[in-house]
Amino acid sequence: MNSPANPQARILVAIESHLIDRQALQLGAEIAALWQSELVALCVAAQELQHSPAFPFVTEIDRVSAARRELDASRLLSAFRVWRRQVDAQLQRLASVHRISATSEVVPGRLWSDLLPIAGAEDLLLVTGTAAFARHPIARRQRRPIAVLLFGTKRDARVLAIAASLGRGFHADTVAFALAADRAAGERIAATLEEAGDTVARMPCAPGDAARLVQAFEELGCRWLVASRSDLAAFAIDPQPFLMRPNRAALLVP
Amino acid sequence: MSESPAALPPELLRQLCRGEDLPFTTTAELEPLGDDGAIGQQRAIDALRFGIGMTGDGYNVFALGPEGIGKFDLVRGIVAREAASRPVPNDWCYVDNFETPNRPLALSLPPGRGRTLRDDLRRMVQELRAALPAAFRRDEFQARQEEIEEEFQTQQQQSLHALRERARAQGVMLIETPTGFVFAPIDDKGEAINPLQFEQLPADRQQRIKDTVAALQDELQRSIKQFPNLYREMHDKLKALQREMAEFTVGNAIEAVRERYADLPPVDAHLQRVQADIIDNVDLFLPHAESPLSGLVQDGEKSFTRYQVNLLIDNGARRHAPVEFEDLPTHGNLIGRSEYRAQMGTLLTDFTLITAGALHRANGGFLLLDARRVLTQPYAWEALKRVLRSREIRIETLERALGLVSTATLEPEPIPLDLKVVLIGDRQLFYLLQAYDPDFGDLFKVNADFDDRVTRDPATTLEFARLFAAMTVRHRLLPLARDAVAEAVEYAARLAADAERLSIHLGSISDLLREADYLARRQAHERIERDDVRGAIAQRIQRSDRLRARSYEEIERGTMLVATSGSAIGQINGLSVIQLGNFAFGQPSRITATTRLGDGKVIDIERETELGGAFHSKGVLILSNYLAAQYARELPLSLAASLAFEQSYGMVDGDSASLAELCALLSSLAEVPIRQCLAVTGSVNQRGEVQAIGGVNEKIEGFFDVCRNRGFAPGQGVVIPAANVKHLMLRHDVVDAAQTGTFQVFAVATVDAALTLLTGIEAGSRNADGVYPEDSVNGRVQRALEHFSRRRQTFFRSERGAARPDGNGETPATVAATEQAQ
Repeated sequence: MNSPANPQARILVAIESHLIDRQALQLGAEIAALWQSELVALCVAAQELQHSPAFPFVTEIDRVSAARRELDASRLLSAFRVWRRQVDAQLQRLASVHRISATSEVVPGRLWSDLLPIAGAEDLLLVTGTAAFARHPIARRQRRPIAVLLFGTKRDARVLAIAASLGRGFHADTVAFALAADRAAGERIAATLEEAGDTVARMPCAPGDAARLVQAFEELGCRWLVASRSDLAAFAIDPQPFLMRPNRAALLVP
Repeated sequence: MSESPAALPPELLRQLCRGEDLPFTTTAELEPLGDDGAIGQQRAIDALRFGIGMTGDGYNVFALGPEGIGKFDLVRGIVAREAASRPVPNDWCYVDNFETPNRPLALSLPPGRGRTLRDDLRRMVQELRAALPAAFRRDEFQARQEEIEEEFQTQQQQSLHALRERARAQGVMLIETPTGFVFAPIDDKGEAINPLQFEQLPADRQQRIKDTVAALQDELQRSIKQFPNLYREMHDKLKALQREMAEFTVGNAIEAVRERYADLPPVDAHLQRVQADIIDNVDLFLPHAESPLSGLVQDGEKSFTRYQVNLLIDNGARRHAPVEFEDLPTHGNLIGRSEYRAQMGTLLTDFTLITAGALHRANGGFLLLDARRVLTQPYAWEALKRVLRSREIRIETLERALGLVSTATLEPEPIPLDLKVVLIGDRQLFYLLQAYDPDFGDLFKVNADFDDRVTRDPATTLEFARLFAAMTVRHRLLPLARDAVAEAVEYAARLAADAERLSIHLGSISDLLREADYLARRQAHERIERDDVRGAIAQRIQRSDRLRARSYEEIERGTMLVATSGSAIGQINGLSVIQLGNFAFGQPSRITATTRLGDGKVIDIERETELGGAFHSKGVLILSNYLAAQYARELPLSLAASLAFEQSYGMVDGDSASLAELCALLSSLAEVPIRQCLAVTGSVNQRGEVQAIGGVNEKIEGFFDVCRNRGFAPGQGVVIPAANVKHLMLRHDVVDAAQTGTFQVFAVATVDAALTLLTGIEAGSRNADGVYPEDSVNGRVQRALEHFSRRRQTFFRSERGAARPDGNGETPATVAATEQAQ
């Protein structure tokens, strides 16, 4: 199966405010280097924090020492600035090492729901769970199957191409989970897979199986999920439980 | 009665070695003398063999003797032969002491196996550097590791997730900040509310939220405090997993090595320690993220040095016990040292930087040292003694030994010592050490005393010829014709300053042969001829005789007053020797004596001006007593005399001029002139016997040269002690002059014989009444002294009476004239 030489304009890496998610950024940089794309770090700042310092009972519990302390707006702002500087410094280093362009943006909102509008049609959204805990994320992904979700929509071909390209880059197999809402969608999936030939293993699923998908990924030992973000939403598939597991990542097509 | 002695026959002036008597044509026909075939050194060789063969503490050897007699070559030859029969000693290695790295451990292995161990360990570490990362990359290991990590991460996440869900169920949201967690209230739809909305809630609801938040905060704190325990638990599990994998991988690698050294328990123990350390520090072998400080601090490569083997002594290529000579025996060169490497401005060291000293290299064999060099290197002598006393080599830097540094440094495990030290030095050093170093006698119990001369006889002459043959082989010289051998043997006798002895100063003889070879080759000779040897001797003298020529020139020009003809009262030609490095020449000097009435004191002007040495003063005192005993036994010696080396501006020492001084004094007293065509050397005792002196050849040749330069005059020659005749090895031109009667050498045994010869007047013997013949020299002396005595008595009587004639300036002649007038 052919894949476009530069199928993605940008790799958007969503990182949460509490982590300088070095491993996620490292992963994003390698994927950006694979496809010669631009890396963009999306620093997600939970919007609920905006009002938190004003609550009379608010107290911050330290992440490491569990100590309690007052949370005031200025200190919170300062903490965010420090975090942003650290992210930028890491991006510069990654850009230099991988010879890519890398920038960062602050995104108020939530990790899962508020990123999609930022992404363009050719962008890919890299979402990691607790990748920061993983010490050898790239090595561990090797030879682990990449799960790709196909829904019989027009985005399937691109999603599959991206998954196949990622598989080649990481020496991993691609396993397609086909979720068809109707017969026509099923035929479109079949056609897409037909075009891919033997390079993709097939894993037929009924729409009702969506809730069990995450469990299926685990059973196959998948580390990666590649899917269309909008299709996931349409099928009410929440990848968060999968991504909350250690060393998991998702590439979401807008 | 003293008769004037006859001149010595020419054959006594130089004892020739006749080439035609030698049983060969050239030295090429002779079997060269072996390395240990030293001539005349049997005593030293026996002592040396005893010393190196004797076991027991302190049986080290001090080989003493003059420089240049070939001690070193001889000692090395004998020691090397002894070493050839002894086994090759073990290799020695230093390895890391993992428990206390500043105290490296010493390992002893059979010869050649030290290198093998070093290579085996180096290879094993290289293999492990590939095998361990590969083992840790294996899917099975990765899977088990991920299992552990996931378990930990899952527990952590689940803990937070559960708390988050419980909070949500109670109307509170858990929010993460960059540094921690906070709780915020939510509405029924699960959306966070702002503080204004919170204020609008009923009071009891607000209170409930506050209580809920407080409780959740407590719970969150407890959860977070559990995280380190979880992490520790995960870490322990990961370490255990790593250890399991490392034990398997390292065990396989090291077992093969251990099998090869199973017969060496200390080595096996070290290999076990290596195994344990690799397993404990397996992280060293795994790839790491590059640190910003990489390259500045100790990098990974250097971390592996701890598993290296510092092969301190590799005896693998030896065939027998070692013989080492340390040319520069500094403290560090003797006992070894720990080198340092600079890193970020700090000096660091480790066991791989330990270097061996001469004692390590010679251990199990022999170490030859130049005693003077050891003694002149700071603390080298003390270090050597300490090692010999303790019988172990403890490497300690000089700075540490002196307490000059307080930084941590290495204290390598001492290595047992088993060697013989042979110190080579001169006699003075040996006797000084014996006198002033109380340890010396205990540590160097054997002295091999090398002689510098041998008796000259046909056998030793032939041995010398074989020695020359050996030298021609060693230095690739032309062979010597037998006449050349004869000339060189005569040169050896001259070096010994004795016609009946031969010098074994091999350095000088070897140099002479090489110089003769040079001349022979320039003349296109096929062998070294007698003239080549003579030419080499002449050129050697010519190169050194600038000062001699200058001195003789001053005599010839009359600047230095030395008469070589005519006669004079109270004036004589004395002879001294001037030594300039390895060149000596005779220097004629005028000695004068004056006498007058006095209180029996002979003034030595050299002594009065502090230019005379103790031996010279002794000689003058002896001749004073000779005067008294010989001529004034029953009278007070009423003489005032003075003696001086004219135009002497340096120190004068030795008693070899005492005969000349006595003759000058007697000439002055007797007013008998001395023949200036003769020069005199010899010392006298209180009985008037003439005793041997040193430098007789140079002295004779010195006067000969002065006479020759001025043009020979009749009767010229030198008077020497009869005891020195056996020392005569004069130059060929002096012998030739004697042959023709141009220049003669006279040997005297008594002062009287010398007086007769020098004055041409019978010295005279005492008769039964103790009186000398009136016209004899002694008679005149006796009369003069008796007159002085009477005048002195007269003087004292008149002084007591009132009138006081002044005796100053009175000479025997004026006194006699006064008496005749009276």
